[in-house]
Amino acid sequence: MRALHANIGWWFGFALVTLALLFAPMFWGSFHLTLLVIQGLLALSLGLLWGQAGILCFGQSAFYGLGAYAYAVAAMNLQGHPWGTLAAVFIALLVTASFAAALGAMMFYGRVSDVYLGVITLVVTLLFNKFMNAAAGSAYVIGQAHLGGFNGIPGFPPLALPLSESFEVTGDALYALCCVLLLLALAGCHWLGQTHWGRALAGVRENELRAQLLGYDPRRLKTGIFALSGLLAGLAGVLYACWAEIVTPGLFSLKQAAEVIIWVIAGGLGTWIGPVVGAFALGGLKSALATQTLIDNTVIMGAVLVAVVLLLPRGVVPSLQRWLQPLGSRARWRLRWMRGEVTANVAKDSHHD
Amino acid sequence: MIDTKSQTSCVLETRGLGVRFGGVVAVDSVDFSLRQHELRCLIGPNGAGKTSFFRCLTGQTTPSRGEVWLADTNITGWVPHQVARLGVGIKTQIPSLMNELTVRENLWLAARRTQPARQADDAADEMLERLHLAPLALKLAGQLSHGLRQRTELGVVLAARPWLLLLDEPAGGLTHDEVQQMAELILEIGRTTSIVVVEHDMAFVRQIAQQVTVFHQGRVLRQGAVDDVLSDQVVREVYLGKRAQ
Ligand SMILES: Nc1ncnc2c1ncn2[C@@H]1O[C@H](COP(=O)(O)OP(=O)(O)O)[C@@H](O)[C@H]1O
Ligand SMILES: [Mg+2]
Repeated sequence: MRALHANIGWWFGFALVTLALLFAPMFWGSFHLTLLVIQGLLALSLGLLWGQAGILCFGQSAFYGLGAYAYAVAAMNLQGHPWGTLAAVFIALLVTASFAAALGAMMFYGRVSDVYLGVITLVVTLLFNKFMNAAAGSAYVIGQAHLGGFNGIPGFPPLALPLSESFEVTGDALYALCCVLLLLALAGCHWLGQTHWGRALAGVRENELRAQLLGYDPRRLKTGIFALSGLLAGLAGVLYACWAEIVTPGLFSLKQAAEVIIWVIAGGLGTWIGPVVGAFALGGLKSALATQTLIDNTVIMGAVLVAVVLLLPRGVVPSLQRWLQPLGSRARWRLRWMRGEVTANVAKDSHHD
Repeated sequence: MIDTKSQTSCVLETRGLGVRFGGVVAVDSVDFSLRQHELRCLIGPNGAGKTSFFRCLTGQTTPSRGEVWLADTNITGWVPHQVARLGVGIKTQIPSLMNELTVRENLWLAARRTQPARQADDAADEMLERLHLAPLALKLAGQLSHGLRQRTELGVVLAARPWLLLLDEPAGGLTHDEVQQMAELILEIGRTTSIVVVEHDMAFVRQIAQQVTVFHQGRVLRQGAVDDVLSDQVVREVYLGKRAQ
């Protein structure tokens, strides 16, 4: 919470991410970068749920995959309409958010404990994986779209804007769109954390009983953030579908589910930038390693994770923030002190923490 | 919100209230009632069932039998946030705060539930001043000493502006001066709020209450004016006698 409230640090981090997104295409191809940005969005969706509400969900990839599949199926069926693919985006977001809301309501109103919540979300992911792998043949058809079993769904139209001449959002345009959406999502999360709703969620995270005794309904608050987080993951899924131009059951795999959690842990929980940086760094590392054959890259990824957990248990971004905080907080206090909001005494006092 | 003004008689009433934990009968058929703006002390030895009784009033525990009424509303079986939304505030025996939030954020969250944003800001600042917590505004609640946690929790509960206040051992673990301040504060709040206080400190009880209810083994043993009750032979035996040993 302290981290989330470090406003100067937040704007600094936000600016750095923006600059990185702007200049990265000078050094790397935008095709690979787009995937990193999409994964950053996926990581942020978990960072929102886990960081703000303290809910660890092992099923973020279920919403990711569902968003991708829902887009593929809807886009397939609306093929030919000028607004078809845009409508498909909204349908996909609606489907994932509703599914997350229903799943969340079932768990939170059913008073499922934290451990079982993890298990249930994981099982849901695996069920999707099993089902999509098995859903081959003519029985598994939704309108024009064949679910296609482990081959997935190829050949659906990518996102297109109904301008004078239909404008397909691919390549650099898709990269730009993903960047804008990621930055909006980041700013949105930051804003949300400071609203009454966001703080109430933090209150529930810190002490559910106290929040209840003050009149906050944890079940409703948690269902809400679960649905919102599902929506963000679904959006990442839609963008993934547009980027890959194929969706496969691998989206629901255990590996994908675990990766998201690792990104968030490595980047740092409790900040908005952390999960995104984690996804960029580890995703980037993974694709860099893919080109070498000297050492198996899962070994290197594992080593990096162990190193981060041992050396920076709070994650990379919160640790950086901790080193930089004395600078930031001193500046902030001076500002408030000059405005007369606090007395010098108080200002001195709070330097200690 | 319950209309307490039309009801001059009872703001809180329990009828045959009982709580069992397996074989343990924590609360046994308690009939209790509180008038508006009354300040009542609940005393009794450890394990008498006072905390369990409170937990039934706030919805934290579902009673095994009997009913709880808040003014004209039967709240038996309600969950805590529903009861809280009627305007009931509780300070729990072990101070319960949102540890990774600052003192001010704790107060703000309480105030904001019942008031618009701007008023909640003012209410939080006002409470910081009133309870002399201003220098600690930006400290995390989890870093406070026990005495300060007690005071902060009281502030949090008051910031939500309840009309019925339940205080479970508010003076527990406080220094002599802090107990004095707490007593004065409770008397001040009591002018506009109905309050039930669970307390062990007899000097404290004499200072704040006119009416006292004595719990013993889950039942109401005696009830009446503070001096009568505290000089009662049976009460002295089960409670004061035990403490003197
Ligand atoms: N959650 C619980 N589970 C089992 N027994 C409990 C529980 N809470 C309280 N008790 C028992 O109920 C009795 C009353 O406890 P309590 O209400 O805490 O008394 P008091 O607050 O007056 O000290 C005690 O015997 C205690 O051991
Ligand atoms: Mg007790």
